[in-house]
Amino acid sequence: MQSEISTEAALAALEQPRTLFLSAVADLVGELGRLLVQDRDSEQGREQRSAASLGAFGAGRVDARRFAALISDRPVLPPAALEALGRARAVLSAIVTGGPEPFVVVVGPGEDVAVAVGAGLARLGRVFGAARVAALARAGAYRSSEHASLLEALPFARWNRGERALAPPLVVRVEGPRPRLSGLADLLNGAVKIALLAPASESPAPLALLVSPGVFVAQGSSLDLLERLRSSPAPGIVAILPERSSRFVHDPAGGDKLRDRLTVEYLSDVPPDDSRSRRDFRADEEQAQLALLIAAASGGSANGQVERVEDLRSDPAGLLAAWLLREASLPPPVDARAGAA
Amino acid sequence: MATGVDVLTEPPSRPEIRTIRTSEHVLEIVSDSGEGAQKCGQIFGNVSARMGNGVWTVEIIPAEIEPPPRSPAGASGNRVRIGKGPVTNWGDETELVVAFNEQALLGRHRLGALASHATVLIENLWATHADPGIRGQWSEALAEMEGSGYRIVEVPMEERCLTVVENARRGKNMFVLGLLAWIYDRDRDLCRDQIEGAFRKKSEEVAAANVRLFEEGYDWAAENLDFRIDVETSQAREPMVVMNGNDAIAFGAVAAGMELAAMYPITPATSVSHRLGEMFERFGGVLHQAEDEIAAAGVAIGASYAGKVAFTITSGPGLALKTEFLGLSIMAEIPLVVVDVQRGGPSTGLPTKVEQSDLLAAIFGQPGDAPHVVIAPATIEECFHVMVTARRIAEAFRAVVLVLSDANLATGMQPFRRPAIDPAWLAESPDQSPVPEGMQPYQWDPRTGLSARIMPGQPGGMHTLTGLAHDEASHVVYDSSTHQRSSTMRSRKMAVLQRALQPPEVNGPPEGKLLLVGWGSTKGAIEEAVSRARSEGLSVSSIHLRFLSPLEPGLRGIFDRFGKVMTVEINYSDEPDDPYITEENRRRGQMAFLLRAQTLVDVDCWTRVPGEPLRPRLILDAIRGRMRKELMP
Repeated sequence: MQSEISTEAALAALEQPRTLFLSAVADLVGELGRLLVQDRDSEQGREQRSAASLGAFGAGRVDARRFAALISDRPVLPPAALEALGRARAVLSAIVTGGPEPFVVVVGPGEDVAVAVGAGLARLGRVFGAARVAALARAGAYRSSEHASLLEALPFARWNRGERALAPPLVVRVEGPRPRLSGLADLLNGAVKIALLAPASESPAPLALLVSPGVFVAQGSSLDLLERLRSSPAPGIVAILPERSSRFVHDPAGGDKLRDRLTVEYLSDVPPDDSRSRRDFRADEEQAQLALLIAAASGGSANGQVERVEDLRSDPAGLLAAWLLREASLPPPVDARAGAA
Repeated sequence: MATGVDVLTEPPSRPEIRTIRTSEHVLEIVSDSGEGAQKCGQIFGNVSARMGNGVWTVEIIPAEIEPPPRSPAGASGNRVRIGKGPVTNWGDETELVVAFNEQALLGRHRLGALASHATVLIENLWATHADPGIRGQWSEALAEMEGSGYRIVEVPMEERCLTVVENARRGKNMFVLGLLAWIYDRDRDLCRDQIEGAFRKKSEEVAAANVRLFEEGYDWAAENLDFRIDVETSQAREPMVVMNGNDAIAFGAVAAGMELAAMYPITPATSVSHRLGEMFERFGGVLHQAEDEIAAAGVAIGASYAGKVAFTITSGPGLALKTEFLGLSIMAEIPLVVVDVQRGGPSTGLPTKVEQSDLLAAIFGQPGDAPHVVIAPATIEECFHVMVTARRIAEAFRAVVLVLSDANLATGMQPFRRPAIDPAWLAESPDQSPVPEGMQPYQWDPRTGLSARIMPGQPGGMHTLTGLAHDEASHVVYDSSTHQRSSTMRSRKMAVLQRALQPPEVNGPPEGKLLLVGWGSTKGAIEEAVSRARSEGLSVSSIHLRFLSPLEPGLRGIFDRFGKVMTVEINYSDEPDDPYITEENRRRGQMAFLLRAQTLVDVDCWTRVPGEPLRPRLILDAIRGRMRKELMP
């Protein structure tokens, strides 16, 4: 276990999906480059390209000049479209050659993580915006007034299913003690993978509210979780938290039933704060949600779930009861208190 | 042993080792099916190619999957022709044979495969076998070969293999490789590497045992044989690769950016899919083994319609089954590459044997008017490159492109220059841009018949796909003018392609008395025969066609410069002098039939269906015969 994981280590752990994304972008850069060349170069250039595309078997057997003249793959583009293609290519090239910075989001104390991540994805979304601009330009449908903004940003909500399936992974470093994460639920689909590093977090279960059947959600303090996130075919988020936080993994690959998907390694026992004014109600809700999930997972199969959370040395129903009693500031019954110890 | 052939039952006593220096040599390894003679030949060919020899190997494959052991028809193995320079065909007769039993040898003898002076190295078990029946077969076989002039040397293959492994049947092939390595002075390290590469998949122990068998064979030959054969090597200046035609098609398909291959297993095409399976796993792609030939065509057409670069692989009987779906592809103008690795026919015919009898079926075998492209690679190297051209033409013309390979190319192995992969060969990403307003799915250019392709998912491109007669908007229309127009447009594409083709090069002087015309795998044998004929003073040239439909331009002009034109093909034709045969009823070779129709020139033919590649000398004999006939008053 590690108490803190660096941004670089998290980036390294998610390098493979980031490389996939960049590889797709690089392909597009190449394609746009060829398109620009094709539309700008001479008749001789077209003949040479035509000859190359026919390969060695075609050499000497197919007249490349005639072939090129016959097979005009697409009409010559107007200058405005060519300019748009050029700008789209520049945007894409900048992403390909620009290093990992666009894939890192830093969230300051008190800032809404979902807003910051949404902005980061929107900035990366200009890749898809550039692809759309290219498609529009090729079809002669590009209008600067309407489409130029696509090269600046494309909010995640406007990404289509194919674009979401190509979503790049993000590393998110949260600097405050109380990360607000629930808004991230709207961003966790397609291929989105988020590594959230919150070394100062005081919330015991900040990801509990994000658990959803098709989403990989895990929190803990080990780098191994990022490897599991990388290899999961599902969208997901992993929070790397201080060791005192709860540790659980919700993996959609586990099966249809919650008890098969949810594994709780450690349930944090945050002591109740006597001063209600300083209580972090959100953190309490998150912890309660995790407890509810554990209880739900044990429904009809309590024994199995108890085994899965054996570190808690408690049955989940008893744990939930203990928490409710604690919330009500009533002394817990002897057996429940013993169970929650 | 009283026989008419020279059998050495003991290793020859050797005052000295005789070295035969030659610019080329033909050898065969033959065994019962399953004894590994093919693998032995493949490794020998591979090593020779890597050492700098020109090589052409041909697999000797029995027609049945598991023929009875020790039967003449069951001979299985490999013929290897090696030379100092490039080798373009399997040559004439075999000069050295290694036979695992006398029945396999007899099978080759009966086919006239062996030269009269051939040396035969044969397993020594059979002459003194405990089974009197086998001893009798041995005697009868040698009696049948009496007068052949063969020099037969018995080799204790099994006895020596048993010193290394328990089952000699699984070891003789590498022992024999050792014999050959000594005889031809092959690089032992290269041999070991190849053996280890061939057997490592099984286990390290198996690989090591086979290397020991190889060493045993090498040592035995070094101690006992009295001859060696020195075929000079000449290292190529460029990097070379060695593969057979089916592998070349598979590699070519990947180099051409093909993403999906759909097939149903059929000899001799199946191994294309074996190689593709390995490559698609590494480089991405889908290999789909469908439930039958028809479904395989359907899957490929569907994938192509959806924007993938797809092709399907088959052989003659499979091509027949795909007929209806290919019609759909032609009618709906969905690009598709179809590879037909021809074998002997009709029906299931000769599954493992070479023939060029699918030509007319490939061009005309479609109900309705169904113009499409047919091209044929002539060498193993061309099997690689043809896939690039086929894909490009299929997409540019929205056409079916049928590639005619054959069993000779499929299983033969030849070194060729390592292809320099060009990104221009690869398919571009599907165009997903919105379809310009007003554009139709069959917006035929009236001049060329060409139209831009709309792929599913392109905004504004929704249309009904149909095999029924349709108009530019893909609406089903049965009126006569629309069908006339759409038929014209589909046909016009072929004319347009033909206008972009260049006339074939003439091999030899551009005018003379006789012009041979070939296509497909016969190129090497024809050109070698023509070369020999010219060295005899005969006025012969040849052309070799790759584009068979549409035909390459300028043929009439080329033909007019020769006194006589004759095709050489591996398909059936009546001989002019056969009973009942007249000019009117004579069935001619398929290319001859096509050329006569297209050029109105009286094209003759010389064809054979021997179930094996044509030998240069047989073609040379045909040249001499035809020219004698022409010179007679």
